[in-house]
Amino acid sequence: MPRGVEPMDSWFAERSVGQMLPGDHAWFSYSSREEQEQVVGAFLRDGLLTSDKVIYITDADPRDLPGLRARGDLDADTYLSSGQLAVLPRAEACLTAGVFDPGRMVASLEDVLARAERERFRGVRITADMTWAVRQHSGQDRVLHCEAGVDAAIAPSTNAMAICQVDRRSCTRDELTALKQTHEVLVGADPDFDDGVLTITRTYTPRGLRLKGELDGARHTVFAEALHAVTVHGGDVHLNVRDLRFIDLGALSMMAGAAMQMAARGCLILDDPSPDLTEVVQLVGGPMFPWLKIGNGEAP
Amino acid sequence: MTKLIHRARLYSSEEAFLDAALPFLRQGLEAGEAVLAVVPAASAETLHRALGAAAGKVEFRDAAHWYSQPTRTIAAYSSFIDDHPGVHLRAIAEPGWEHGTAAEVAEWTRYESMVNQAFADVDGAVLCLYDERTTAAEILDGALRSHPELLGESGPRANDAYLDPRAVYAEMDRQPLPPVPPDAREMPVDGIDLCALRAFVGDHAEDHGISSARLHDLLVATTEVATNAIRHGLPPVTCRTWADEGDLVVDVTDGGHWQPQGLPGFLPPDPLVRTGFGLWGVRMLCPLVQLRTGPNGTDIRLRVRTH
Repeated sequence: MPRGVEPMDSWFAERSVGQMLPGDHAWFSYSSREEQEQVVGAFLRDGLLTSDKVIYITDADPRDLPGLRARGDLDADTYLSSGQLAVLPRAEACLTAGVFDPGRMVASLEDVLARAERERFRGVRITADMTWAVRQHSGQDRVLHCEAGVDAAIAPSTNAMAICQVDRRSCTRDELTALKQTHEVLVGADPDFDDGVLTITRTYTPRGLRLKGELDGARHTVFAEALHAVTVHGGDVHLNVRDLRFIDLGALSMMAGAAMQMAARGCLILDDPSPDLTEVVQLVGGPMFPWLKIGNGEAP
Repeated sequence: MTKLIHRARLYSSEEAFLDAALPFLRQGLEAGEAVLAVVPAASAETLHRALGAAAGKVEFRDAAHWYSQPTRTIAAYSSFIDDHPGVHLRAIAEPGWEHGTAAEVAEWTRYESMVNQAFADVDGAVLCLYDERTTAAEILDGALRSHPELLGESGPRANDAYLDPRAVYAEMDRQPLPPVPPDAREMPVDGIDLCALRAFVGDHAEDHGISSARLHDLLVATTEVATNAIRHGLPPVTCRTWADEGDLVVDVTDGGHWQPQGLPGFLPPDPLVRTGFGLWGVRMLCPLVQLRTGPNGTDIRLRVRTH
């Protein structure tokens, strides 16, 4: 299979973490601690703040979990002692003689789901970072096997949802593709801004913003802030505009301004513009956009 | 002191066309100048035949595309100038306009007049060619008012009918816009959130079967004009739209008295400052943009062809 081409039959629902539904067994690959914080952090915090049971399978210190480590407002110990937060060490949840054991993982999962039901939690949120398991000997096959069991446990549930995490930097493209295929839901960060007309969401691979809806003068200020935050550190920045139905000239001018300021430190790339938008950019582009490029969404 | 030579030749035979164009082009080629010919396809063929191998040194552009609307034409010449720094430039230009509505003729006359001001410092010469046999009298009349020199049988001479560009613009801008027809649809614009305005214009435009690309350009232009009216004008801001002889018209009025100086939105903006980018973008996107300020406020009218 050529690089970057998904099989024709693959189908995913893409959701932001705040839109996840009971029964979602979601896939999340991250490439930075910041990205993991955005998604898994929100998953944990939303659960703790809305009285869901939250289960994290990890050997990490509970105080160092996404959502709890950055801000000091939620105290891990309080939630642990109340039983709302459970942190299961790998040895307890899914290891047999130090090796990842899919059967044990699925059994543990069924067990915690049943317990959460007895404890009368409104919902259950489960997450684990599977990167270490994939990296073990024949890890990919074991994890794939496990995912089928997890899917069988979560998908029919009316109150449980799960996020399987993998550090993209530690996996090959083929491994990532194979693992992703075992999930029907891809989860990403919640939008930084959403007023029903425009949503602005941070993206991490490639780094930038996804713009959706309509961007005009009423939203220049929020767009300027988001653009500044993502361009201030330099490096290439991608603005995915595939789902942007409308952008006004003021916002295009702001993009050109940001692109010029970045100049030597990176490019501003407009990914997947509609033919109509491409035409506008090319038409007014002569003097305005020598720094602004049009791309296809692929990181170079 | 104006450097640019801007000269018109009104001709009425192919022979007269060649008598004007060939020496002008050859002189430029011999002097090693950058030589441009923006002419309709038929004239390009005539020139190719007459010039022979020398035609290869002339940059030919199709007038039908180059002269699609005034602001795009200025942008095209500006790029040609930028692409040939430090070289004497020479162009023959046969716009190929033969007919137009009164508003179109006025805007093209304004364009020819602006050339004298916008490109005054360009080290170059432009010879504009108008076919008297096929061109409407009012277009020829505009050409006579906007070219400082005329080329006749006996060579170039100063043009007595030439008017200072500012006088030409003032004359154009004195003409009131036709009244809004009673069946125009109307929408008050009372906030910067313009989604509803785009839906209003979009619905009306679709009733008239406008293409998706043209509608998109029109919505970008309408949004820009309305944004400016809200940010810089005075209430009430009102948008009206109607169909008129194959055009869709979008009219945005506000209670302010915007009287921009110079050539508002006609010249490509300086990318470093981007001031004036908005109105320039509107003029690039929309074939006809009319701006009037009177006692009742500021009125900007956009026109696009529906087919």
